[in-house]
Amino acid sequence: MRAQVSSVGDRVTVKVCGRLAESYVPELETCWRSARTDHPGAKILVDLQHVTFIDDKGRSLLERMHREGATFAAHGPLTRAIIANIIRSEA
Amino acid sequence: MPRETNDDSALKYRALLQISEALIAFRDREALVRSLWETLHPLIAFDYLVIMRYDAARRLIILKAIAGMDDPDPDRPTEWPIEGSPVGVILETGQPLYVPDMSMENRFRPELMQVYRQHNIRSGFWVALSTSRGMHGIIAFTSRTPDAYTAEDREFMQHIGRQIAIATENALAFEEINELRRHMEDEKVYLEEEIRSEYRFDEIVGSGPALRGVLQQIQTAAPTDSSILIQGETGTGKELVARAIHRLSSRANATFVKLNCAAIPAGLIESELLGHEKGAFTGAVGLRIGRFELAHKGTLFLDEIGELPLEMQPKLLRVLQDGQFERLGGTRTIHSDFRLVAATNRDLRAMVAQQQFRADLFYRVNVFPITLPALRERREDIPTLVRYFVQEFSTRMRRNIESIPAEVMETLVHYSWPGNIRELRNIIERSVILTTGKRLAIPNDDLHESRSHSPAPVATMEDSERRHIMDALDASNWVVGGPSGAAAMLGMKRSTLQSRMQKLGIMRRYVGTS
Repeated sequence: MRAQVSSVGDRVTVKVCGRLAESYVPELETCWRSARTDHPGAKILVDLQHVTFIDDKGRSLLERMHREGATFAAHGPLTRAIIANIIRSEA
Repeated sequence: MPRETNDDSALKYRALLQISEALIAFRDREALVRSLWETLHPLIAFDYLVIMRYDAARRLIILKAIAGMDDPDPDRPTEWPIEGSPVGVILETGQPLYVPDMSMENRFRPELMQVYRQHNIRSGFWVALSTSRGMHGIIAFTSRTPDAYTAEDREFMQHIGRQIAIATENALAFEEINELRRHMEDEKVYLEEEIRSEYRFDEIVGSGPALRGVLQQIQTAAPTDSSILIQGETGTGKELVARAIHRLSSRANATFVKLNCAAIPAGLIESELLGHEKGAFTGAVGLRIGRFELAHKGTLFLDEIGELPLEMQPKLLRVLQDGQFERLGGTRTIHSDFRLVAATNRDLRAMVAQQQFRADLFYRVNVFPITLPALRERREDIPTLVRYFVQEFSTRMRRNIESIPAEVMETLVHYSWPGNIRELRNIIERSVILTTGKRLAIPNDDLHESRSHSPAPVATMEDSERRHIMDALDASNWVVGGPSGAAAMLGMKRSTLQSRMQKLGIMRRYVGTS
């Protein structure tokens, strides 16, 4: 898995590629925390369009990120279903 | 020019011997150049000594080592095209190149001339480093003095070039081998990581209670060293579970060795497991390490263990009990410490009862059984699996399939899946290929055909008997006794047939007529 933070103006994007599972989940969490620290108050988009698999740990992290204000871009029926469930459960 | 004296010849001869010794101890080019500098500098007036590699494929000269420069410029280029360089001239002429006066030279590129001027190089002698395989480099002796080298000097430097050529070619080959070995090691690490990542525990997809029960069992049993028997229908993921067990065990860093007992001819399975010595049997042209030995310190996965030939079963049992065996044709006892994970889609207990599987081996293998549910027993996981496979194949095939229509999902959830997850995966792959839009379309005909190909329910003995008696009665026009009666056709007494008819509830229906 690879996570990359980029910013254009006041738009911050965390782009995630690969498998969001097991030992890779803390890496994304670290990246997320850094993005929030470096860009306080910014709306952060988490780009999951190149994520191939999300396990329960990954899903839990995405739920926390959503509660902390993240928005998501997802691709593929599995990732979209997971994000849709997260958003529905938080609504 | 004064003629070379005997003393000069002796010095040069000794220098050649010293160079030979330096080449024998050759470790790297920098050390070689230093050694050459120390040996030759008292004999030949040069200010710079350079060894370069010739890359024929890219037509480049690559600087490898240089002596005589106190403070080499770190930004100095280290690769040059051969065109417009001394090497280009050597390649054209096939001869070493002597340039007695660089200021008169007009064959070289301007930027090269700039380098020569920068270092005040006034003359130089370039010698090809060649073996029977061709030219692979150049050694250059350059000087701030014009016309620095006599004919004898140049002949001596060619001798040196011939000696160095062999050593540098070997060093080049050694470097390439090292590079290849590093690359292969990296590739091995990468592939092992890929294999591990492909079969990671977290990629067993699903969250329903049936699967969660299995995952809990895996987490309980995996860290122990106990033999595990994975049972389940074909296509339920037995190998996936076996690899997850290995990954979660204390043997995760050792090898996972797999053998499908049904895939190997019965006559060869012993050799596959035990290995064989050269000449052990016809076709044993060399030593072969068997799976028991390969799995030492790791996990041995025997898939379809129910297909293991009866004659091989006691041998497997011995290895499991003692950890010892001999290769076919060998006498040396070999020890192997491995953890056994076995899998089967057959009822081993029933096979034991039918004496098709040894009871002692069964109990040795069945220490911790794990039963994988059929896909139809975990329908709650089908939507997640469908989305997972659609996403996997869409990405792989660069398709943009965003959703699965509700009616399609409904069909997939309620299908019987005799082939379980493997069948689901295949159908999804085929569906992704055939889908033209963003919504998944499945080839429903495949599912219908699969249903029609599923085996018909087996009739009970009672039903079969009832049908048989009815056929005989129809044929005899419901005449029970007599030579043409149904009892005679069925080879039984009339009373016996009547008794059977009563027991099976067979009665003739009379149709009333007016």
